[in-house]
Amino acid sequence: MIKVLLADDHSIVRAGLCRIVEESGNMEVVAEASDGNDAVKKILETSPDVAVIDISMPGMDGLEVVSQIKKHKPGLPVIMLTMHQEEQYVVKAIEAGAMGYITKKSAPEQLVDAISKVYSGKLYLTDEISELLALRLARGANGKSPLDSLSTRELQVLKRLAQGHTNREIAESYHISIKTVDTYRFRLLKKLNLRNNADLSRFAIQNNIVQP
Amino acid sequence: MHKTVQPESLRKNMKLRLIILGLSMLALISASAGGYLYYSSVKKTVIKDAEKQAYTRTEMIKKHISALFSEYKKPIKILAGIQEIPGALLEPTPGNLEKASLIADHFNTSLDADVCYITDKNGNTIISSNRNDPDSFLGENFRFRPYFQNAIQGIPDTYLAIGKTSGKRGIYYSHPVHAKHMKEPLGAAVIKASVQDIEDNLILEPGEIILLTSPQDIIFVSTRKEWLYGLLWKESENKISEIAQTRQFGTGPWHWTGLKKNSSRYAADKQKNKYLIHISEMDDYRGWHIVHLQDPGIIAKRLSDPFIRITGTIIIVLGFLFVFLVLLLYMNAGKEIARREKAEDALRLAKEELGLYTKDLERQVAERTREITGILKYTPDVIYIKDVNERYLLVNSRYEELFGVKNEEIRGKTAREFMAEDIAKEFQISDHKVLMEKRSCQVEHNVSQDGEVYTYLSVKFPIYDEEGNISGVGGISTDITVFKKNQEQLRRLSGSVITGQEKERTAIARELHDELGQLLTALRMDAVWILNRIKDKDKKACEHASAMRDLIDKTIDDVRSIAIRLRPGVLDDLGLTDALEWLTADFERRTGITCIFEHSIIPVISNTIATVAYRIAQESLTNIARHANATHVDVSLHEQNRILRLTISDDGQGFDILSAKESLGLAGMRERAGIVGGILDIESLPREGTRISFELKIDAQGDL
Repeated sequence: MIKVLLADDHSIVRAGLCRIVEESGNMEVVAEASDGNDAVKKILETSPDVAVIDISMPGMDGLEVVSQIKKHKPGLPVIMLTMHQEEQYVVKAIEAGAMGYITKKSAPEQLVDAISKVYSGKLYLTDEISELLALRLARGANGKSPLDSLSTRELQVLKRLAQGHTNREIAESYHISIKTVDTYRFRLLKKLNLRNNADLSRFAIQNNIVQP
Repeated sequence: MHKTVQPESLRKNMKLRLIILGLSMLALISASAGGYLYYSSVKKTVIKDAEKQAYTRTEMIKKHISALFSEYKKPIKILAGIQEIPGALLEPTPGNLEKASLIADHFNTSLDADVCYITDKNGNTIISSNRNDPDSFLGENFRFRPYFQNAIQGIPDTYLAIGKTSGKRGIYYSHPVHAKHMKEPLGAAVIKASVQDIEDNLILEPGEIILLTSPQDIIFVSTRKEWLYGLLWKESENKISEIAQTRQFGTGPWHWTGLKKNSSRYAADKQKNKYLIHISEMDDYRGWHIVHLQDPGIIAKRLSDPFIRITGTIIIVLGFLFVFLVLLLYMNAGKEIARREKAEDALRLAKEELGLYTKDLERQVAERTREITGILKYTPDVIYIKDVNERYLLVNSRYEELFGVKNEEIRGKTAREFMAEDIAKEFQISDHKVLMEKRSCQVEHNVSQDGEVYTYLSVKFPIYDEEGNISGVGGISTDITVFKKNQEQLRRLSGSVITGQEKERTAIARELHDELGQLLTALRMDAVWILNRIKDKDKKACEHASAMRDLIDKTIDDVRSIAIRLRPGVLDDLGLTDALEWLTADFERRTGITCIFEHSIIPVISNTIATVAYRIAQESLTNIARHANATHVDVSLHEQNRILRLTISDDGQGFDILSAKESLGLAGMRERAGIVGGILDIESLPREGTRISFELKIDAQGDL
């Protein structure tokens, strides 16, 4: 049985989540917390295998809880749970040290899956999130590099172009216009002082943004 | 009208004739003047010639007289050297004296001199050629004469004087008499010659007077008899008594000739006769002068006589021609007068019209002046005019009231002379700017009065003179204190409205997102649970449950988007940068307009500033989506030197900021910027896009 801690300030949501976990068959909820401080306290008391924590909670918010857990129980995998769907939250959560990230809306479909995955030591991330994360890491790893001047979206476009995607494909995958993709491409060439897509590919490989 | 014209025209007729006569007189005068000028210029040349001639004459006379003066220099030396003379002086025996006297007589006769005589070293005459004459020199003492004094010192001398006994002019030549092997002279030998010869030998030109004057200006030789022994120039009593002491020129009195110098070239005598004068000093006799006087009238006469002979005929012929010309002009004048009368009539009419017009103009000027004076007096505004040196020319009554001064008192003064220095300086800076930049400007001044601060809005403008040069500066200041206070109050009010609204939005958004959202999420979980339970059992119930889930999904999305539109959670949870990143991405997704957000690392800023910046960006993007027709938007957020700068620029059609009424949206942005003390700048040109920038010093943070 996987021991799970649930932290959410909305009891009705917590009840729903509890049921999803309980009904999975191989997981049990060992503790529930209604705010951040409570969550940290109960983790120390019950030593769960996985913690599922709401980002927005009164008192200490979820991101802070993760930082606290990292201090006391560095090995405990944490899944961030949120009402928000904006990718900005995802990035913050992963940076704070979460192993997984799901929205409350998609909890019934993804929660069990996510718990099993992080329990087995893997990250639970959607494709898009993993990509974002990889890019952030690439940028961070290089210290001061030309990548610092690129925005997240520019990095995304750079990666896709380096992988050989067409402008149209990139536009579709990010729900933006082809023209916008072209603008990003132009800005990339200008910022990195490169001439064409081949140059971009070489640059992406050299900076570990894509694998050769 | 005819009646009034007649006598006037007659009068004018007479006038014209008079003018012609006057003109002819003028012509005559100018002809004579021309003649005279010609004559005088010729005369000038002649007189110059005469001066030159006088110079040559004087030099000649000088040489002549010098020659006469040296005539007996050699004979006297010989006389003094004859053996018998020192013999008689050494041993004055009757025999020796007799011998010496015979020698003196012999010399006198052969030289044709006046007297030859010998004096002992005391100046007593012991031998003389005139011993038998009534005016005999024998026994006379001449030691007072300089020629004796010089001779006894061993120096030969020539001396001019009037004889002591004869009272006649003489030229005395003296020479020391030496005995063999004796250094000191024993006495002096003297020859006296007549001066009369000099006058007799001079050949005079007409109008010429020649004088020889002593160093004391006594006329010793003169071709004009009555001036002889007179003083050439008027002298003082002292000088005259000095002359008497020398006994050189008798006993006097020495009358003054009456000559006076008019200039360096002319002198005049008592009868006012004018003379051309030339004076030259004798070469060997210091102080003795040759004076040459010449009557210029005679010179002129020498010139004018032939002149008149030649020009007389010409003048008569010219006179005739002139009379003929005057007659011709006189006849023409009649015709001219008629023409003039007509012209004058027209001129008079024009003058009358001009008079009326001028009066009208004057009336208008007076009216305008009254109006302007009224405006200056009754306007609530403060008005002043200064010159280019910033000195007051005029101030209105309101100005007088405000600063407690009178117009007359401050005219010509600068502001510093009667205002507090700080206020004066504030006023002068903008005045100076207007004068330098030659264009008007608007400034706000704060003036303390009776313990309260009043705000004035001043319009300052350059004043130009007729040539378009800047001649001063004018200023009109309006009291906007109340307006300012109201504005400030309004600003505070709108600030609190905006702040309140923001608070409310945040509360509602949170309520919607957190409470309603969570409820819906829980509901969804249940719906999914039900769906999973009945999946393979009840197909109809399964469809309903599925529809229910979809409906909940849609509702969640709607609630979420409403909440986000009210206030995005990202802004509160993650900050401005993430909020703008999300906003721009969302904008691009919804509108299809390329929107690129660029930022540097931003320090922690207050929630109020973040909200203001976010709302400005949001409002700008909304405007762009609605009106700009743009294809590309750039949003940038940077911080440098504690200044936060947010810029939103598009490539849309833009708008004319000046002509377009500022929309509520733009006004709202300005208000928001104002709440935190930031500046909102809008640049836009039709067809060249719009650029909105918000700038703020981060240290000056407002509170929400």
